[in-house]
Amino acid sequence: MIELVNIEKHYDLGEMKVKALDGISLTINRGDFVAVMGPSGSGKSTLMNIVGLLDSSTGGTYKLEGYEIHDLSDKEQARIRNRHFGFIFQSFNLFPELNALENVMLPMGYAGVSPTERKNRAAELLDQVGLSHRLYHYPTMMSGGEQQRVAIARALSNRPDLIIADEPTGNLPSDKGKEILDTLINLNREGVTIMMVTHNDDQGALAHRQIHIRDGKVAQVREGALK
Amino acid sequence: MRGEDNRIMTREMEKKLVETLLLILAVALGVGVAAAGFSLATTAGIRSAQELALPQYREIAVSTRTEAEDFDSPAQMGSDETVTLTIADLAAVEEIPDVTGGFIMQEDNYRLGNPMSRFGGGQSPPDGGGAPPEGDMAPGEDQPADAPAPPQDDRFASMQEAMAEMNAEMENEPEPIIEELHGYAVSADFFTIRGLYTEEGSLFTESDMENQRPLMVVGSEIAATIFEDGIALGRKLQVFDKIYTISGVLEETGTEIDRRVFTPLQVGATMMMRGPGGFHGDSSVLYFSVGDTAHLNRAADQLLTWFNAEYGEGAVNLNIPRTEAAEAADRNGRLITLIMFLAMAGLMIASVNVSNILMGRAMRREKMVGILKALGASRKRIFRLFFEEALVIGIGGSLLGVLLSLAITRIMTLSMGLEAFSAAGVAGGILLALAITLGLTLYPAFQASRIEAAQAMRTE
Repeated sequence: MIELVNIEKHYDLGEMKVKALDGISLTINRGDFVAVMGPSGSGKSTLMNIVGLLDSSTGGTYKLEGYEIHDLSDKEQARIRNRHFGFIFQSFNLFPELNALENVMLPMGYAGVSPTERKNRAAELLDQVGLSHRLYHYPTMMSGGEQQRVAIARALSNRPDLIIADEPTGNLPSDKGKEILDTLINLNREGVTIMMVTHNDDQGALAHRQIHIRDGKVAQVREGALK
Repeated sequence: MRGEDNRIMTREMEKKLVETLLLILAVALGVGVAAAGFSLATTAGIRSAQELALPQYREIAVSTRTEAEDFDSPAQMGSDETVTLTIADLAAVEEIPDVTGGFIMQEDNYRLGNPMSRFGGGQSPPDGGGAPPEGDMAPGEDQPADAPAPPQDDRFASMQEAMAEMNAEMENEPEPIIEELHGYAVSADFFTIRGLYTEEGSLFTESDMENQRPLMVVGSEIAATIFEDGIALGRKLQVFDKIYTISGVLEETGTEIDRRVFTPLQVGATMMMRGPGGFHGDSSVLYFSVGDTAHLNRAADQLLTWFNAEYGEGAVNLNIPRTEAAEAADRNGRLITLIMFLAMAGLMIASVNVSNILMGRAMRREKMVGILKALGASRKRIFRLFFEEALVIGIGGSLLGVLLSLAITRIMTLSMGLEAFSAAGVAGGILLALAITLGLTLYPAFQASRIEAAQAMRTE
């Protein structure tokens, strides 16, 4: 599904050149659950940005379903992010101006789904994550765990092929973190590909594969317990 | 497509209501001032063009030296050197090809009412002789109803008799509610050359002048106000020793003419006494109309030559009203340019400020834009989102600016007495101001659209 070959991301800060990613090659297959691990500043987030089309690489090739991503226009990249990827962020990143329902509805609007359908599907998704009683609550009125569940519902709204989760449990107490992780594992069982950044070795162990990044390079690939 | 992202922007605007209103106000001020400036410039431009097209700015005024010097040297008045300009001098029209017509004009005041009542019920006649009454002549009659009485030796008796006659004639006439009228004794061509027409009644003709008929043509405002009932045509007015009949009412012109009256210049009549105003020297001014205003100077030179030959070097004074009016229009034009410049500067300051604030707003929302992009918003979508916000501010400000410009033009009209409102001027100003404002708000929207999607991943 995703094929990265020798991906580089260099920042030119005047005299100093920073190699955030220094020749990363990896493949993610449909149905995978990949954990990206590594210390702070190792380049995990940069890797996730590039995979999620939030940033572009300065070298190497990125193929998505065989297509060279670099050649795609802004509009096409936006379309891929919208239809094929779902993002879950460490700090939830819900819009405080919108209630739970509207937050989940938003990406469907970009996909051209009618308002009524958006609303129905958003309510359905929120029900799936156990928030049917919170539809009209604003993010500030919800707990961290609830917010992250809204974010998962939002990530699922356009039935993505790949969920990109950046430390999804990082801001949550461990019991709530476990709930989120269970949700992700269940999604993976239903066939959704998951790429997750984590610091937590136990969580990493749940993935099919752990990719350890150090100094912008793949340091180690380990097969996980789930496989 | 209206989506949840639009709702974010709307709620954000609602949340920052004060900031939004201040932005709208800034746009309104810039737009209002610019539109008012435009409006003023448009009306001023139209006004000076219209004014220069008026018939009096195709004319050359010829007056005598003393008249020209006015009261600076009153001792000269009536001295031997004074030349008297008469209707005969209009013969110059025939001699100078550039000149298409001419008339003679004499400023006058008309004091209304029975003089006897002022002098104590007719018991003590004033000093000096009065001209014999000429009686009433209704327009259209060829001959006076009463021929002028021949001068008598017993002037006092004759005068008393004349007054009695006049009193009898005026007995059933309504009293005017105005005491004094200002106007001119003119020759008949005055009306054609100045392009004046009657609303009611008729103008006087050359034959009326020759027959010395006491007719009066009045301006529209005078006609409406001289009698209590607003009727003027056909009514009689006693002006000292004469009874004038109002034979015509002029069409409204919106100028001073509306407040003036016109009587036929009495050819060859000696007017010894003109009411309390005392003696009027022969203050006739000749006006010559020139077909092509480009030839005004040439015609003036030729007229001067003609009058110099007639009366001697330096006897008359020439004046071209257009020269002065054109200079005034030019001065006004430069002033208007300055006002426009200031108005545009105001607009630019407002627009740049609004642009700057919008830029700040966009930068504060980097994270939001990043998340929207991660969720599938294209650059175009983000641009539209921000531009729509600018549009709300721009259009809201412009609508308020229209009201403001109306207020400003109204104030200018009231305080300076000049018509400053022009719908086209305001509309043009608004459009230009809106274009500049929106142009300057395009940039923040563009910058917002360039915010990277990776901002979404940034953790604070």
